[in-house]
Amino acid sequence: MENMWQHEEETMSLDELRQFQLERLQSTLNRVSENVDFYKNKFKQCNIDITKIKSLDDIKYLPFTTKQDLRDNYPYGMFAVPLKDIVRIHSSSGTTGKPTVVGYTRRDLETWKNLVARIMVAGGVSANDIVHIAFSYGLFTGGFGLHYGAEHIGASVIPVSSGNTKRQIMIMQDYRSSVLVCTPSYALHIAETMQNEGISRNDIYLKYALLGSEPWGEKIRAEIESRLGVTATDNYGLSEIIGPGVSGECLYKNGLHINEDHFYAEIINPDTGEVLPEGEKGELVLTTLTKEAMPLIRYRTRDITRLFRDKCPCGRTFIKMEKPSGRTDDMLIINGVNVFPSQVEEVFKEFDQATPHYMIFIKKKGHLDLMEIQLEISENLFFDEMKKQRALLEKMNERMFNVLGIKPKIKFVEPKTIERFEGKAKRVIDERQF
Amino acid sequence: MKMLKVKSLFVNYGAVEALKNISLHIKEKEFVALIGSNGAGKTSLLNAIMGIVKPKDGEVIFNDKNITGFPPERKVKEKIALVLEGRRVFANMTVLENIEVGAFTSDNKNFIKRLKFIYDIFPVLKERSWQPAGMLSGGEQQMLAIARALISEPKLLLMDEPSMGLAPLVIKDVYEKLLILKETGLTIFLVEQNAAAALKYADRGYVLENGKIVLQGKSKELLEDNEIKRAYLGKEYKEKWER
Repeated sequence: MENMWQHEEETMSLDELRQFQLERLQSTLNRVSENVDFYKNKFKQCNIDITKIKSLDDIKYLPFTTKQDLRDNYPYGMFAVPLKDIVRIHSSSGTTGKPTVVGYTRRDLETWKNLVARIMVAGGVSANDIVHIAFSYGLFTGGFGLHYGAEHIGASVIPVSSGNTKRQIMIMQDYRSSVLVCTPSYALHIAETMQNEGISRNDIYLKYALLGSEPWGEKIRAEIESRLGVTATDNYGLSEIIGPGVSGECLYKNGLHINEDHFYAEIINPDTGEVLPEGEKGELVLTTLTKEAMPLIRYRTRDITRLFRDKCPCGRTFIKMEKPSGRTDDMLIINGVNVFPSQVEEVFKEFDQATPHYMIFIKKKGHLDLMEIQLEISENLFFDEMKKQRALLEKMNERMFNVLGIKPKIKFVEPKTIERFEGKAKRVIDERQF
Repeated sequence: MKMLKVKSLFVNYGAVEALKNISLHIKEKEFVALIGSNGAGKTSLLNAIMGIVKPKDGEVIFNDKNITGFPPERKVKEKIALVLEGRRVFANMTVLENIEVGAFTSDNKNFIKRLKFIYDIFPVLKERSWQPAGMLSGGEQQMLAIARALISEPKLLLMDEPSMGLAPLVIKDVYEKLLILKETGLTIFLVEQNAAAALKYADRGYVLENGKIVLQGKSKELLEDNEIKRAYLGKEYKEKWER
């Protein structure tokens, strides 16, 4: 039996778990139907009497919540408590234009740090560790989420944030970081940089890596583990639900245990919305069971995975999800940042000189992701002076960074060089291998 | 799961829905409080669990046995006891006679042993065992009401508003006795308007509003919850802004 942060909860019997889930689902429904206009109206529209939800199985009668619903209620429309009870606000990129906003009450933050602490302990972290957090801090939930979880365990937390890889490596060596928290691609980039600098895995002190916020496979895991000398585990979360802390692997590295006492997970057929039996692959749908500030009912994560309940040797009874294997929408994850192709289009629309013809290429540059956008520009501009072109490029780059949160590489190409599509345009070419 | 499980319980009084889709549980040796204001449905819930009113829908499961709709005397046989609101001791009967009343369903062979157990916890009842119950103070009457319920050797003790009409210091006495009883292995579920007192001593809590449960959690979490502070703990706050 492994170390656990909340042993009683994490090893709960299925019978007890089901009772907790039912109680919490019902009270969440009672609160949202009272306090959130969106749900009040939605239930009315769909003719739903929430007192008819008498078992967990009945959840299938409830409507889904989508990212678009969150956008429509921007910024605070989904909150179930008055703003004065909100003590933290994060946000994530929206599909187009406005981002989605999430709020936390004091109790939500308490819950959050405990859930992250569970996942970190499951990944091997203890109070004796020095936790090196190389996620960016800010509106994204990654940095702060892992930070408070690690602090709650009692580990020594270094909030390094992202970027400046050589300095990261110096800190790892000098401060003796024992746990690395970042995206898998950044972990590989660190390994690569170390190699270039002639630093071996024996020169650093890392034991564990808790990696997340982008898809990765066993091949990458093996490479990270051998090059950095760590045990690497995956963890999963999304800011709309809470951030990191939704699920995470234990040291047996066979699926991510979902914190089921706080989130009810279903797998649906993304086309029909029908609930699929346990074990089948489909879209993950999550319902928050304890969130106060922004409870979400049947939120469509758009992540494709499979749920299974095995007898995990770690002793945890929570159901597991496989590493997400894809998306049901066109969202791209670039160095851990969520990007929608529609955002690119929105930016181009702001510029008269841009034509509607563009292509997005996602490549690997070393171990990091690179987003290259090829854009056709008008003939006049293309043969115009370089200065004007460069000024435009600069402006576009700046806008892209503001909207996407990452810096793509924009390339102007001659008119009529980009493929024209009949029917549905396929403007994204993802050349990465997971 | 050991102990009490309530699943999607409904209670109607004529056309009035007193309880709507109530689910809750109390684990063995846990001390759980349900808080709610007047008319929220607290007493209805206890009555439904105890079998005094018949639920319209839903289940009451005790140690994996479905006991929904069992009458009160069968509930006592199942080792559940209820301490009613307002104590209701028989004022003209002695303290001991009051306790004996509680033993009417159980066999007598354990009575002496049980009485000793009760007197150990409530020495004041032993001292006053020959006095009429009407002579006792409010707090002592509450303890007598608890003693009367305990004589049937319940595993689960249900209580309706133990703090009602009692002075703060006396409330503290009563709750401290409950903690001692919890230590002996008793499972306790009580309903209270006095959220501050109940949540101070209970392990977990539920919040009932208009016949529905709107919040639950560990007592410590609930005591720090802004909604509860506003609604039940009378904490003032200045509104800085409102959405």
